[in-house]
Amino acid sequence: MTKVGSPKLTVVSGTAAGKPIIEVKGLGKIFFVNGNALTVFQNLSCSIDKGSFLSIVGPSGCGKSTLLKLISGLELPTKGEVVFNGEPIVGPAKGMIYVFQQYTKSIFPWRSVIQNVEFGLNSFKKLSARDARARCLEYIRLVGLEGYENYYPYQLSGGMQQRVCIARALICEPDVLLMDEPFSAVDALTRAILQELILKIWETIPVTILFVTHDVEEAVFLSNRIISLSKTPAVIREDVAIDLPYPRDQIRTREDERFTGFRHRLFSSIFAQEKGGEPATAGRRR
Amino acid sequence: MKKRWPGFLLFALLLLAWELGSAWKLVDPVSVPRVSVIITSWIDSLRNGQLLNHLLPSLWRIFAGFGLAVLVAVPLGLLMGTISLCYRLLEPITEFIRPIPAAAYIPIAILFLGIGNEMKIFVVFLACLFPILLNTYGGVRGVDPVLVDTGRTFGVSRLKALWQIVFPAALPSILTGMRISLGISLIVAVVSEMIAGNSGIGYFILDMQRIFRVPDMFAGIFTLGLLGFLINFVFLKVEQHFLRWRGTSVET
Repeated sequence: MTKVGSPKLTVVSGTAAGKPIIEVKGLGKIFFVNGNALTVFQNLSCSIDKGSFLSIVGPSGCGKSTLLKLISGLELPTKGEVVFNGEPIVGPAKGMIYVFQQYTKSIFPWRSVIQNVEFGLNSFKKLSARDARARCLEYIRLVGLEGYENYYPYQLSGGMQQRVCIARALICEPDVLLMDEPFSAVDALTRAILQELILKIWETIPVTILFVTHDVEEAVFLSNRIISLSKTPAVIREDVAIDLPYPRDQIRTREDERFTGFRHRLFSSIFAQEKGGEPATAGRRR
Repeated sequence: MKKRWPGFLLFALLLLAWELGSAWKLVDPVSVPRVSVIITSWIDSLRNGQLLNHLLPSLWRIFAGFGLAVLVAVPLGLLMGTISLCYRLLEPITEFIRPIPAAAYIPIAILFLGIGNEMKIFVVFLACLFPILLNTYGGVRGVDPVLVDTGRTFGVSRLKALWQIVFPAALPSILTGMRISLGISLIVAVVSEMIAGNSGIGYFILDMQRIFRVPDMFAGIFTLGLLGFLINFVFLKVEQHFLRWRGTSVET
């Protein structure tokens, strides 16, 4: 199978460099909807290295967000387990923060920007009022919202609201940031800016990011590893190391031959499934 | 204040029509005295303290009953909204008592509590309870699951989440319930005063009617109108303050 600019595809195994921070072991999840059982996962396993930027892609309704919820402990699996820092997940775990797609519903509208960020800090540690304020302002600056600390969410644009949610999450100094389609509800330009922001943060702060998106290009642009799920019951169809160099650039990286190669491979695989046919990359399946 | 003058103009015109209708005997001036006569006796009964002596007990009953209702209904509504056992336990009783008009409790309240303040405060309390309870409960149930999950991902305890997330998220609904109850409290207090006792603005109105001091009776009714208007005005200001984060300023 040769295609334009065919990239060298590295398949990431569970035992790559760095030690795993999260291990998904034989995960099964069945939902009961109106008496019908929907098997989202039957037996899913993977392991995620500390410090990685892993994106999860797949056709719509394949359980990407469910996987993220199971890892976060917000949902519990029907069978199997998720191990985080050596401990099995039995509920929302310290050290992992979930950033929701629906930032308008996740932000606290009755709290100003700084009060929202302070909520995160208070859940993490107690500081004196002065130190807390300084810390909050530091994270507000990190997400580029300096000067807006006393605004209420209704006074902010969507992108700014999601920045608040990100600052509120980061101030807890999480080991893992779970991001569920965080930029899917903002306009294209804002999305590009937020992508650069999250990359900058990932490169400055020692944090592992799990990023669910339906946008393959976004996944390739951001991540150093992508897992592509099949339709339900979902299995890992592709597990690709994205060896594009960091820091990445919205213009140059996207024009890179390898970028388009990754995009081609992942997109055609997902698109084929979405249409119900055999994936074009079937031959390269793991 | 702009845009509001047409309403006040209409109000003034209606009062003028009343004044003239009564003066020209288009309506019976004994049952419907001229507005100027009503206002004169209004000022008189305010001056001699008679009206105030009746207004203060009424205010006490309204605010005591309403305050007690808030203190009971809000925590109860929060409990019913968050703990399903509480809801299943209390829902049938609530649904049975709620539709009974508050005035219907008065006879039984008299049996147990007499005709004094306790009875009236109790009746106001009971009437105010349900709108607040149902709105609190409804508000809690309406809290978005994403908001609840946000609290969970930050590891906030259930009790803390109730206070820091559920309560503020349900506050708009709770305040709506409180506003409805305030209106009801005025009605119920007046009715209870008319049925039993010898004080309060409701008693005053009925008493003036019985001894045929019709202008004073109207003065009492006008007082109620003004009181209702003021209570609502103050409450809207309070609501605006607590909901300033919504950014939609309610026009008062």
